[in-house]
Amino acid sequence: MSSRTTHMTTYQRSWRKKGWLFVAPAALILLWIVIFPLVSGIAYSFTDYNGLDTDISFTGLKNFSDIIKDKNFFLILKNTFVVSAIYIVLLNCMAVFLSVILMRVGKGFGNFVKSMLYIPCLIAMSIVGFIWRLLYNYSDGLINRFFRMISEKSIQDWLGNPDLVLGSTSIAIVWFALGYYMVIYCAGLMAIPVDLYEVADIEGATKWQTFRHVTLPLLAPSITINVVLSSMAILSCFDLPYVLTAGGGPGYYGTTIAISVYRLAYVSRQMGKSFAMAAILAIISMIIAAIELRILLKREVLNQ
Amino acid sequence: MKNAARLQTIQKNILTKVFLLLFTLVSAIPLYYVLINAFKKNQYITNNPIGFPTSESFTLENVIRSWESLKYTQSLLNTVILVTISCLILVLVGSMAGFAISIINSRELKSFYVSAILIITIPFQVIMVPLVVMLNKMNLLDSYFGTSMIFVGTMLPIVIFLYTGFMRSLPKELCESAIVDGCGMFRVYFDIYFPLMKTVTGTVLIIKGTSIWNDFLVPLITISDSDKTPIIVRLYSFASVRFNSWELLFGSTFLCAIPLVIFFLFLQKSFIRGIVTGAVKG
Repeated sequence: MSSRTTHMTTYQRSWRKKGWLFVAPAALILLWIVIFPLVSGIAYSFTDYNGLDTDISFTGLKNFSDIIKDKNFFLILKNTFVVSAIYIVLLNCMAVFLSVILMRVGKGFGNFVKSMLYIPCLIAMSIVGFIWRLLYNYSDGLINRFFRMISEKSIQDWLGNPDLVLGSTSIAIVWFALGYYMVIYCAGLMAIPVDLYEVADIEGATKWQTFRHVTLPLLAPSITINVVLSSMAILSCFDLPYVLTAGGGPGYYGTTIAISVYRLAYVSRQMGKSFAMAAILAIISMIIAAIELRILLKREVLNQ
Repeated sequence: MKNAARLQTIQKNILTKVFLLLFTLVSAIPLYYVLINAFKKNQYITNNPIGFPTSESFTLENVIRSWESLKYTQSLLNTVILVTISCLILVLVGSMAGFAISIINSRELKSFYVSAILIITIPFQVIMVPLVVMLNKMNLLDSYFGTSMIFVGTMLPIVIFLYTGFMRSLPKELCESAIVDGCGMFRVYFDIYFPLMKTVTGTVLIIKGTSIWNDFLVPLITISDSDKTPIIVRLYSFASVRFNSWELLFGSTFLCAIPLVIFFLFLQKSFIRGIVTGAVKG
């Protein structure tokens, strides 16, 4: 035993150096593609760089104060939070509900439902944006055609009304992502031991009590993962909202931070402001990720 | 008494099934809407948008015209090239890093791993503009390699996470006995671990392959040469100009969505398994 241990320590020692050869390509790529642009982006956000000129001067916090003073900044911030909140809550509630009732039906039928709901995830988000733009269309869209059958008054300008555009956007993204999250919840549910449900049944628990006291606590790991995944995805979600709202309209009512970064950089060519906006997005998502990852990593430690 | 209770459960079961079926059908409406209208003549799309194409309204013209305006085969080939280059590098580089991190017990590698995970939380928009400026200086815009490297760089952290998680779950004896047999580090990686990684590699290829295939923002900002544009960007530039010709929009949307859907229908099981391992580990 002891000789074996010494043998292992020798290999650990010699491999420790070779190990860098295995990690080096990944480390270099990350430095090149992520870290260097990240650092230079942060540096650029304190300058008046416009992407073309070579003489760059330091402007301090001007970009940040310009953005915050912009009358649309708080609207954009609010839009991002509203879209994210509706999306995260609606998506996770629907996915939990569907996967719980999916457990009650046979495997064949269950797989059919899963596959059908998964198909939207395979379509590019930008294409989904176009499909829903057609569905939401005011005069000819399928949704308003349906409401017109009920009454002429119930039709809405789903993408043109500032009060509705964020909800419409969230629903389209939920349609896109539901199958993916449902599959993860189903896997989480499969891992719950059956005897717990038998005990609950013998104890005479109602459906709701069983869900509340057995399913929900044991599904907690999947819920954490899905909440983290969905919040990271929605904060930087660009393709679908951009195409759906034709660039963040009406006015700025459909613009989220992710859209705003793109628009500032490539439409209005205000690079400095774009960098600053991106930095704000990074801070927001890091705060949210830090809170969520803390919970995740704590659990990972407990499992080991 | 027992029979009555059983009957009740069966009834409830049927209700659940009916509900699920209705829900599935309603959420399939957008797909159905695209599918049928891609094969209908223009006036029938406006008059009867949800009717099945009849011998009178059926036409292949939408699809054929969209095929031409999308330069379908060429843009599809561009997408395939991007996906292939990115996935090859991702799998190779990611598995090597994951291998070293999981086998070797050292503080430096652990901190590398933690920093790689922290990178997952950086939104792409943050590095987007400086990245394009840098690639422009390096003459890597409008090149398959440059665009693929963006995919590789941004997706590498999750891939490393997946490989590390998987290799940690393998028994330590596997590596130890190989060492006793006199295998060097490279041989342990290539001959013993790499063949065992089929499942994770499958997961990586499925999850990352689909998201590269469907990505819109990265090629939008890095590729302006119309001979190298992947299918999704081509559809965007085509559809934003012709948004009023619905028949072409349906035709081209159909053409863009169909390759991956067919792929999925053939490989359903691997897809579902891939998502589950991908999510549970990362």
